[in-house]
Amino acid sequence: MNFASYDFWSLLMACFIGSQLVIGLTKFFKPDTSQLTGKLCLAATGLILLGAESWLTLGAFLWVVSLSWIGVLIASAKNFDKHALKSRIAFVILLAGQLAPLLYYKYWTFLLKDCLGIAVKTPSVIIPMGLSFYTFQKIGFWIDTIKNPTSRPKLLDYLNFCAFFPQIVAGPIEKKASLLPQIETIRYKIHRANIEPALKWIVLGLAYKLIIADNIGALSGKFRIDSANAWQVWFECFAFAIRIYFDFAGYSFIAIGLGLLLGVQLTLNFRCPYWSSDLREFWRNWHITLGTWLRDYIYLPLGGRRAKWWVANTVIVFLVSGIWHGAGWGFLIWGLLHGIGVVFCGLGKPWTRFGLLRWAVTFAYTTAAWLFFFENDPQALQIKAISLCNPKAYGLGFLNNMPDVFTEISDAFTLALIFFLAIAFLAMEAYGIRKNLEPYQFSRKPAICLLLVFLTVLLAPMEESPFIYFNF
Amino acid sequence: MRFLAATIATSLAAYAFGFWLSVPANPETQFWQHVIGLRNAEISQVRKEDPNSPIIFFTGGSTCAFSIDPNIIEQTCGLPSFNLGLPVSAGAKFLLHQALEKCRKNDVLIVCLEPDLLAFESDFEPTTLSFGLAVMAGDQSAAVGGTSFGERLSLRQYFNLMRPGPGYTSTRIAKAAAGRGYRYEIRDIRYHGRIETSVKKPSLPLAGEGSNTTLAPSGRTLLETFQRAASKKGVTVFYAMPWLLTAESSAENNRTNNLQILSSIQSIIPTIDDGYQGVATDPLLFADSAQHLDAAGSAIRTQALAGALRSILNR
Repeated sequence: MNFASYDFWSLLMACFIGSQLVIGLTKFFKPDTSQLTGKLCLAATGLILLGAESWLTLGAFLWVVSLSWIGVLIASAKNFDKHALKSRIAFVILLAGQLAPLLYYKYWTFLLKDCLGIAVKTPSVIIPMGLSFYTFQKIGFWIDTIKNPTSRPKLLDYLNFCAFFPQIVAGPIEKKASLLPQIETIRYKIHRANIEPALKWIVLGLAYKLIIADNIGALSGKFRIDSANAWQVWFECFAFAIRIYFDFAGYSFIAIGLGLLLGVQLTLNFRCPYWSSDLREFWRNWHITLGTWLRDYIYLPLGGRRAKWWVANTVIVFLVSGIWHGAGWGFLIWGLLHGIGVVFCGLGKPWTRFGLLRWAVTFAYTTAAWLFFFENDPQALQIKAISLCNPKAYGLGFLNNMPDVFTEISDAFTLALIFFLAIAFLAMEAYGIRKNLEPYQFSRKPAICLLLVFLTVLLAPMEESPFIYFNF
Repeated sequence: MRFLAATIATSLAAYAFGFWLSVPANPETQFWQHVIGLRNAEISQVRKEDPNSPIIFFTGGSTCAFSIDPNIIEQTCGLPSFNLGLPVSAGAKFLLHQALEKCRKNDVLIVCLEPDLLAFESDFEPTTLSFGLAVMAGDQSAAVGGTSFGERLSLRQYFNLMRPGPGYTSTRIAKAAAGRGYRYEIRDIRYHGRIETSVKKPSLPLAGEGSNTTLAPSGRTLLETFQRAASKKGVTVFYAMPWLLTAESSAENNRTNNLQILSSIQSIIPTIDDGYQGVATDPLLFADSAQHLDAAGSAIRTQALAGALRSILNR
């Protein structure tokens, strides 16, 4: 479900037009069932878009949804009593069932081979798209229902909550309270009043993704990085930092726009995170819905900040965050680094009163931490990490070797243009923060959006590439 | 709705501007369009003067454009000859189709495609250059090989090819800032289509040891389809491997590998053995890149090829 691909938009158009025909016919013959028909068509659209990715994606999704629905049914009937053994067993079984595809497709090899040293055959190189996202979302819905058993949602509404296509495969990880009421009253049609704001989000998202993220992705495949050269390693980290932010934020903006077109307000997943002055602020503004999920379902149940062992709670949460992103020691270290950073920032007063310095260090820290996220080769990772900390790796000779990163000078020019535009985007974010505007409000001004349309057409790469977060 | 209309209008304007930038205003397209125009005019003239005489054509990437001297071919083989080489970035299908389009029954067409195009699996997608040249010639489908390969451009390809992309845009900006135009000029066009540059790069990258020894399935299909199209037109096709500047230490290995590739190609299209198997080790024979021979290099390469060609054509 690549929002930046012709295939997605073609299929979505076909599903939408087909649905409108069906809804139109239903209105003609049985007007009082048109909303129900709309919901059925919406669910079908989500399932068709999932199925178009692969049967595995659809199958894994339906498995998780089915098990979580059983959990919701039991919870809605107030049959979960945390003190009763039967309830606990049922909870564990249903939780394990829902986590099973995630464990099998994502963590099997890591757990058995890397952690326990057992040689195993990798089950599949393909992880069903969106598995981590919707698994967490379903578990969240289920736990919310256990805590607060209300009247049971209708199966169709639950299916639409799960399969609402703008947010299935890469979030935002919507909560029951925010999305379900909207789904229950949804009408599957374009909300004309929302066309303009929706279009602005979509334009901004496509610009972020196509102009910045995809171009950096295409060029970074050709980088020649000397792991012992700290300047080059920083360059590689910076390029990835920009790429992953613009890729994921871009996706989230398009999701918001698509939701708005259907009259649904999805949660903004990013709020200019690279302008954060400390790591706590960073995690309040980066992948917000994941942070909220981890806070509500892991951090607070462990005792949160009020517990004496809040440091351990914080580190655990970030270790879970790391491993959620990927099955590997690098991801765990990345999570650990962020956990340590958040703990440090939460110890008391800011370590310096100079805001610019705090920002610079926070940005540098998060940029360097990305190294553990993207570098898959353990040996290269080790050398690069040491380079970042080794003063000798910052020698003038190494700095002079910076141009060696590029195989062709034209790539350097292209990257310079893309970085210039990325900085322009970030500057617009900073301007919006300074002027106390809504996040990305300045970038969504009509004139800016039209300029972005123009630039996207000119500068989008020739080949399509998937969203990075599809790997999670 | 006003904003939606403005977005659509801006998109259309962007595509129009992008098309203008990529095609009519593209210095590379402008230069090669001029080259093609000159070649077409000269071919017409030759056909007019001797309508019954077959012509020997050469096609391939810029290695062909720089390395084949039609004058030497004509003197050796006694038939008119033209070099139809274009940048390899025009894509294999366009390079082959545009040459076959100029051929008539009994003509000879020597294919000098870079072996990497045939040895690595590829979709042979159309490129900005092939699209630009095809549009300027009034036949957009030529970008994907036209009637030679029975393909047409899809809507998605149109949308993509009408855009300059980041690489081209940044290069244009950089060159405009430096006051530089396209690297080749009208004065670089020689007799019957050969290209020759006065630029000599002091140090050129030498090809190391290669590992390709066989055609990729896509390369095989490309040649088979083209051979069928050529046969239908009564055109005789040969393959001659272009020269690549190679490190002395890798020369023998690469000749051996290239012989195997030539053997694979031989099963589809007869090959011409010029004795070099696509390997040259003297950097003094090359001009501005490891693929472009200078005048002296071109003469040596063509003489080697012409001798073998004359024997094959029994002339």
